[in-house]
Amino acid sequence: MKNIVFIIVSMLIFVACKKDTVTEPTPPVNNTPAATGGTLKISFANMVDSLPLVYGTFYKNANGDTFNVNKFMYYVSNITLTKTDESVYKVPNSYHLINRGNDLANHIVNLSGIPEGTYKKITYLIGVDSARNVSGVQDGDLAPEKNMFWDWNTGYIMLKLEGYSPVSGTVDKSIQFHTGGFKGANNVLRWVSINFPTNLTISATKNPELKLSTNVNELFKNPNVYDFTQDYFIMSEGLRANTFANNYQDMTSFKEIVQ
Amino acid sequence: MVFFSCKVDPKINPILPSDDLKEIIPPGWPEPVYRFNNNPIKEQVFVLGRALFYDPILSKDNTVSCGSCHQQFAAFAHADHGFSHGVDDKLGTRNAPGMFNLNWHPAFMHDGGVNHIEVMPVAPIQNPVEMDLAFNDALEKLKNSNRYKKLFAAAYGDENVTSSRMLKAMAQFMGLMYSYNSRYDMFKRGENGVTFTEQEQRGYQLFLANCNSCHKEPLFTDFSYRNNGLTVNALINDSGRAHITQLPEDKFKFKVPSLRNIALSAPYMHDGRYATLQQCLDHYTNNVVNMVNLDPLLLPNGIPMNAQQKSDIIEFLKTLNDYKFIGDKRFADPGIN
Ligand code: HEC
Ligand code: HEC
Repeated sequence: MKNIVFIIVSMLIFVACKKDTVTEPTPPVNNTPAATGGTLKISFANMVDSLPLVYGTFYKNANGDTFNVNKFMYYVSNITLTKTDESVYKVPNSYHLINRGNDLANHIVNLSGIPEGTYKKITYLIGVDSARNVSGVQDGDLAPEKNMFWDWNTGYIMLKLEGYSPVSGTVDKSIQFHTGGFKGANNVLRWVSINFPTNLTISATKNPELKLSTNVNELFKNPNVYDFTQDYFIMSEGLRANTFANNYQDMTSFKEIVQ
Repeated sequence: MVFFSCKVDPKINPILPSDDLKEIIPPGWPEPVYRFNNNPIKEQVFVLGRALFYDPILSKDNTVSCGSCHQQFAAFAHADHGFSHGVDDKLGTRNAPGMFNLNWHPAFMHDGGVNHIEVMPVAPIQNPVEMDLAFNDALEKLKNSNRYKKLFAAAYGDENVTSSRMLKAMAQFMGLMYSYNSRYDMFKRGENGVTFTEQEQRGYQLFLANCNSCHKEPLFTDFSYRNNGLTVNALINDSGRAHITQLPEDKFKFKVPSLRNIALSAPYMHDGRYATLQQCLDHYTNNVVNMVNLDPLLLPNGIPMNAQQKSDIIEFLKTLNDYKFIGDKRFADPGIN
């Protein structure tokens, strides 16, 4: 009986979770930086609906629960840019931990060597691809001291949000959502694709900025509404991490291009 | 002052040998999983890895090193400890396995939770019942140590202490621990006129018939996860491989351990429940529990063997002791901490 209920519930989740599926751009993909390429600055602003996210400040989630955030970080990797002529440039070795910390400025990713041209779309992975999860110690944003690494079931924490909610079921009223898992049914990696309403021009003489904005409330809203009295804690891979990843896959959206 | 700074610091001059370091793939062995890619073998890197392995600086209160629980005379298992104790004498819930031929392991720990030798040290350093030190803090301690600045400089050309350098050096030290010179190995290679006694020969044949499907030659494990019918300790309720995969079919399965150096590395099983090899053999004849996920090879009644056959197998297992390995000074505690 319990099993049947479980199956029905997971089917519901499955149906409810169906969002547009984004996949990795297929070859031919160019991944050689251009000698005379241009630069691109990508900024990630963290918002809670229309308000900028400020650590420690209280907000309300879609369920009406009060909460604050004191840690919010996630990986963005395998960035590709698509030109208006459909050709694709894949930024080599692009692994970025988006972690604004207490600094209120936007988190900036600086790219260079991008082939000149007119671009219409950015695609990337939320999380760290499976290869880098199984290839031993990594440097830079992937270094283990970034604290985005599980040591007992080794692999990256793809997204981490921690904070406080007075309704949380934990003793200290904390809320903690850590997702990971890169294999089979437990794979929480999600491709994201963002079209630009206006074209982005890359050239050796320009220094454009792509402004993106990430809505923390999206994590708890769509398609699954999180009730912090029941759901306040994810610390391992599995179904719950996956359901959460389905929620956050579209947390980031286009804001503007500053040419 | 000049005199002082010219004094040779014994701490950075390893007294132990670190010569003749190279990747080894004994004839007939499979291709290792770890091939030192991006971690070229170099004497000073090995020396750094060895220093780190034996240095309690990687624990919260500077009392416990990797070498505290992984002792060379026990083939780097924790001798006489069912559960290993870490800082503040806190007890863990698993038995420390021996360490050798690690380059062949597709994954580490009894449940296979760690997927690469280079990230292996992170778990014990951070584990509250082992060394209990946040990885960041461990790195910070090394950065503030003049001794390590020098060791890193000798290994990598500059004093920069990074996690990647640290972990690669430790992987190099551990990866170069090869055990392939037991009497069994020499017998198989036809070396030094080594022969087996009649009893060892009988034990070997019995082993091939009854044990080799899991504890497979030449590594004496096939690295699979299996349930060999141990009763579940209700206090710990260790679900083994399922802890990692969350799959019901992995419940109570554990990585098949290598039986090389087994007579040197008591106690036995993931929770160290057996003190002797005799008890292990008695387990297979008398105590295999027909439980969920029990390996089909052990159905219906474990492995039937009489007393003589069991003692034959034990005699054979002793031929897997590699005294050259446990006496190899290159892997010893440099005793400089
Ligand atoms: C407090 C005792 C203790 C300390 C200290 C300790 N270990 Fe261990 N080690 C263990 C135990 C227990 C296991 C088995 C854990 C498990 O399966 O969950 C283990 C497992 C391992 C394994 C896996 C072996 C295999 O066959 O899968 C390696 C490698 C290892 N330890 C290396 C280290 C290193 C490197 C350090 C130092 C950074 C260290 N250990 C510190 C107790 C310890
Ligand atoms: C079906 C597979 C299988 C067979 C067959 C098998 N074993 Fe095991 N053996 C295991 C597994 C799995 C473990 C680890 C269990 C644990 O730690 O919970 C183990 C553990 C052991 C250990 C303890 C090792 C250690 O480091 O703690 C010994 C000794 C041992 N087996 C000896 C034998 C002998 C001798 C035979 C043949 C008579 C045999 N086994 C047959 C699967 C098997």
